[in-house]
Amino acid sequence: MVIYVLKRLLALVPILLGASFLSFALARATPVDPVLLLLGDYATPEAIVQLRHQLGLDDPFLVQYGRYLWNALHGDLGTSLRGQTPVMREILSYLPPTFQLALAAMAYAIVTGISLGTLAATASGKLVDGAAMVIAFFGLSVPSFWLGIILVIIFGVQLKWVSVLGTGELKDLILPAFCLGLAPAAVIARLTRSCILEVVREDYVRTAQSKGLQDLIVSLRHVLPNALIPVVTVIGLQFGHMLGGTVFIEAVFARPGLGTFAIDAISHRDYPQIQGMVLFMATVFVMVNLVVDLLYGFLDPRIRLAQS
Amino acid sequence: MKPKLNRALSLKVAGLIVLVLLLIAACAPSQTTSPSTAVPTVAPAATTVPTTAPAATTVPKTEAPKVGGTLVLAFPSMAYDGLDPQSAGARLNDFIMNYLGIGLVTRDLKTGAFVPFLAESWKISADGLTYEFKLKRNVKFHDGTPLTAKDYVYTIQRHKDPALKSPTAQRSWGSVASAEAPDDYTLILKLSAPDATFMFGLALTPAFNQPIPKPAVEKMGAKFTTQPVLAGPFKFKESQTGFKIVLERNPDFDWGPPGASHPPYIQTLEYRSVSDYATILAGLESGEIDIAEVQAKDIDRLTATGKVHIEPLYTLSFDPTVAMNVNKAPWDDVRVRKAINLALDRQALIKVVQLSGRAEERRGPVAKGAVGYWQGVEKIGYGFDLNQAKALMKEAGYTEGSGGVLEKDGKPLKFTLKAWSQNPYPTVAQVVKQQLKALGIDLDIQLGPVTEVQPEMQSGKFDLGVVNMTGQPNGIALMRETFHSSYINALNLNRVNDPQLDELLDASLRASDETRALEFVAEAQKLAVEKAYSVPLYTVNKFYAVSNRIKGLVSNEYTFRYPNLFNAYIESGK
Repeated sequence: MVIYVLKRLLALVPILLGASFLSFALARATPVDPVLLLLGDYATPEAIVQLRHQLGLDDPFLVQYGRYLWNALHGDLGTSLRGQTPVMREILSYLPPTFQLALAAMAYAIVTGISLGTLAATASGKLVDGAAMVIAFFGLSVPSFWLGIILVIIFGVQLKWVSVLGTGELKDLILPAFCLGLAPAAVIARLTRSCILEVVREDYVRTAQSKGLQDLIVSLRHVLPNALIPVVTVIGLQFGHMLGGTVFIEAVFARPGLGTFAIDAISHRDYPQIQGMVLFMATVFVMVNLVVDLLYGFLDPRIRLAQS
Repeated sequence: MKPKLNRALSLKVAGLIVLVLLLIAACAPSQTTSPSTAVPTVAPAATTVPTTAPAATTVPKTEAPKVGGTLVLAFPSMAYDGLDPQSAGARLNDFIMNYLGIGLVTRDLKTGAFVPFLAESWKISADGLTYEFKLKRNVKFHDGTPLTAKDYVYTIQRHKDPALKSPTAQRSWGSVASAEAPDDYTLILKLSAPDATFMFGLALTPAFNQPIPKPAVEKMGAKFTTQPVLAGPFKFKESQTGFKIVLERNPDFDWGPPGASHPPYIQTLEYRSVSDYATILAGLESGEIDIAEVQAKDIDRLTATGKVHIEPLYTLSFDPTVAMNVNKAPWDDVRVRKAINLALDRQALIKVVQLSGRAEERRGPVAKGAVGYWQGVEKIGYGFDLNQAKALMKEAGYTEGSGGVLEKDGKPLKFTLKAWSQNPYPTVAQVVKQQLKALGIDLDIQLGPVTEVQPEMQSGKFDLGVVNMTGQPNGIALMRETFHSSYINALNLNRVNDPQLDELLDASLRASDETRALEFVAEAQKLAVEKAYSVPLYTVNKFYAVSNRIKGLVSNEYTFRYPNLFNAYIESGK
């Protein structure tokens, strides 16, 4: 097990190297010079040259990348061009509201998705099943940012039930979490439905039933653990996607967070911030996947056996 | 065959799963209630603040303004919360900085003249090299320490220190050779050369050249950046990164600039970061936002709600222009340069770049909102007249060749038009190509990133280009950077080398009297337009939507970029 985890951690290296190089190169491929944005009205040729030098942007590309990589290996993601503050500190300061939103959305998606999926599986082929799947289809199809704007107009402008800009309180989470969790809820619902339908027709479930085991025991020991395995994987993957989805949702609901931070970093071409953000998100994404894979082992001993 | 689900079993599975998940869900959101992220709302202090209601000349009409209330301003990108006046953050948050601090001088809201602010009076030596400011007494920083001239000396030294990497240092204090404080209330600044833009700079950008207290900077360290101690009419109250910055009225600031002569009425200024424009519009409609920049296309809809009115926002955008290398044929012929100016239908261009109603044709090199803009350009500048343009080309010796392309001595007018690859430059280049084709000039568009195109053009390796006018708010500096021969290989992209123009631009910089400086700049604009040294295209108009509950706000060409809030107040009961 330890070797497996170590192997997986080692596999992180090329992934993160790739992510760091891509973010480094892509940020610089955009046509806007951060120095011009920084200087604004103050962009005299002398000032441009001076500031480029001060920020180390006049070095060759590979020199800059090498320096960045070396520092990143030492846990230093650099300092932002604008604030001259450590990027890691900035990212961590924006993390809590994003994490809060992602967790709330995930909780909503899990509850709604699995309930809806189970309901549909239970009533397979009936009207309820069809209705549940239509709802799931809607959730999967509707763009979250569009839904967000519509909800803001209905509940914020027309009904005035919620604040358009947010108040900084927990109730601000309701609408953004709903929007963000809608698509994952739909994915989870569809998967849960098909998994349950698949598992209940397995031989071992029939065997368990024929042995005269109580339905509760059959559900607990045989149906639930097996039906949950793919769902857990998808939940893990959806959590990673969700962190990305916060970019739109945070913008529409005027929430602070990593999404706002990313938009701001990109619009000001703050290279260290963009690079730091991509590297951070890539790490989170891969780590979430790793955790999901390890959870597999707990849920399905067959996988543990295969590994050993 | 479709498997039949055992109904009783499946219901139990369902119930069990939902139960487990409810338990998980009950745990998960509990993490979201972390008190560190929950922020209390700002309680408007309207009721607790005594009414001072000084009589002001510029505030209307219906009722006396009262102290109090919270004014909410929304900005599309305020994720970065750096508030050190000398840092890059100050430039990005300059609206906020203007109210956290103050400058030595400001501008009269009606005449634009420089009037005292932190400096009660000033003297400029005959050679224009020494500025002596007498500072107002009893001014305190937000931590209660008195403000003295020594703070200014420190401020300038800190700003110019290369270690600070300040983007605003050069423009703020570049011409200052030394700063002295012979006593607590006298500040003597010696310039390395006469600079008529110096006072403009002080008045235009108090956000960047405001005084900073040394003890607070040293004591607070990095905290100074997020919770600065300054001397303005508002002081820092609280902030939540990427969400809001809240300032409150500074009780020690019991004065105001001439024209207001009183401290601001607003009790709390709340700056909200709203990156989505649709949300800004929704916030204006719901009454949660009092001031925000809006696009022209939304003006009618917003005003129809009866909740907001529109104020012009005087600022400079990076307006596009056609650059030409005036040392190269055929652009070395003034008739050709005039013909290009006349052949461009700027109204049609404005439509194509989707700025109808949001932009106006530009006739001269200095934008209307900038200091030193000369109105005469509206009369002598070039409008669309293709026939006159064709006549000028004929006069210059060009005849129509194959494919309608003009030619002279067998050489057709075929050139490359360089343009930056980001919007709207490719579209502008396309329209310019089409419109100059009608004149008989054939252009091949070549797009490239600004980092490539700009250096190429600065070194003169181009025929025609679509670039932006410099975003310089000061006409004296703008004209100098755009047309003075010393700026060839820099911002003088057209490579204009005209001794007469150089002389006017030098005189405008050397003049110690602002009025005289502006006269020279006006003459320079006249000459530049007459000789068609530039091809201005359009100026983008910008607007603020202001809630109807806000009265007394002033936004005009003298408040440049920042609506003046000194006379603004919130109508009672709203």
